[in-house]
Amino acid sequence: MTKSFHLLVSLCILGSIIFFCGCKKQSPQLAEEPSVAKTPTAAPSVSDGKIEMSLYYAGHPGSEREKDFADFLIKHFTKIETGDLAAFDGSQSNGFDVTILDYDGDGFESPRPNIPHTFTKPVVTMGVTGAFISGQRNLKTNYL
Amino acid sequence: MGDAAHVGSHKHVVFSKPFTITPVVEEWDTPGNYRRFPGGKELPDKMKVWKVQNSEKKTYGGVVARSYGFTDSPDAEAIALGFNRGKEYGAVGIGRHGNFLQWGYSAPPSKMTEPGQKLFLNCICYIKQFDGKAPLVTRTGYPRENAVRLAALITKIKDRNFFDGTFAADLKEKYKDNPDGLVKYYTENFEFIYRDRTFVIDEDIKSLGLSSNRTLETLEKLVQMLGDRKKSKTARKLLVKYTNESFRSPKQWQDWFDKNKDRIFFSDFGGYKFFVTPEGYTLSKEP
Repeated sequence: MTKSFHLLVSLCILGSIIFFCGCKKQSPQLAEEPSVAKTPTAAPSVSDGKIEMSLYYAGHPGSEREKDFADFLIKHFTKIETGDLAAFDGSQSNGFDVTILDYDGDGFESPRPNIPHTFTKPVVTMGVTGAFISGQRNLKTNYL
Repeated sequence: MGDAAHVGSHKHVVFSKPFTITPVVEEWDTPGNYRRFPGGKELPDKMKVWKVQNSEKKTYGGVVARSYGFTDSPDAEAIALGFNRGKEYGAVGIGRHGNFLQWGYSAPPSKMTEPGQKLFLNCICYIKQFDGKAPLVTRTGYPRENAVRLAALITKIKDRNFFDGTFAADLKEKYKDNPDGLVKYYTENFEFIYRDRTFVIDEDIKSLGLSSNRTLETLEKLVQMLGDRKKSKTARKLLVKYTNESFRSPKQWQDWFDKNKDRIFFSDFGGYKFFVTPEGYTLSKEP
């Protein structure tokens, strides 16, 4: 009787381990261990199929490219606002989770925004325009 | 930069959160420009890449950042290496430095491939957590790899002033017709390269029997040498030169080293110095 009870408990424990391990393998977020990443992050929360984040896109107002970005981003994030890269001074990022700095056409001709060196909000910079902004700030992501 | 990224480990979190990315891998001919850079001759004839975008016009203007020194500080990371026709293999197509993430591809979302779109979305999500994480170093020095790279060009660039900020006058004269010799000179002394208006070799480090000017072991030995009457003067000179500190007593140096040794890094990019990562700067490895 005791032996049977112990066997039953052991089988239950073994079953639980197999069950939970199986669940883990099915989770796409755990499919690959991000061992290379220095700073892994939790997946952002999603509401109505959209990621709960607010973005500020500074680019070329009225351009096709601005519309391309805005149309795409609003499908995936809960809040998007757009503005002019030429007028961007960092203050526009207040109240937004992430800022995107971009411009259309030849990146060599794009505006060089005057961003204070005390600016520490999260930013994604795009292409040649972004490389020049990095160059202004002496970052490793610069053009040369 | 072209439309593609080199296939890497793809284990970085941006390849899995929130969207899992499954790049479509292709094999492309290795660009000829890769051969011109140190290590380029050993690359295979074809390389595995995946397309991030399908640009239809060249004016999108993608760009890679040089790989040299890119990861010599804990505030920066290369996320994807860009397939390019101008710089070295290893140049960074997507990279982060502090609170800035540079997406070197510049086609708009409608011209990105599906995996490219997902990676772009993931990058936006990823950079959010670096709010307030300004870069620890900014460019005040040119990484030592540039000495080797530019040495190979000494007979190819005819402008006599081009190398003024690169090689000392005596080196330029000695190796003016011998790029291989200059490459060899810097390669053999690679761990002792320092910037003092030009790329120079730190003979003080060599004279103390140290094997490099940029390892934690070197820093520790320099602190220990403060107690050696024959070496203390040179050791102190080097400690002041390679750090932002100027302690008076050996004990102060030792205390500083012991307190910070787990957070010390050396950066060519930041000016050939040892720096201390502020406590709490590096985010937890757990979500």
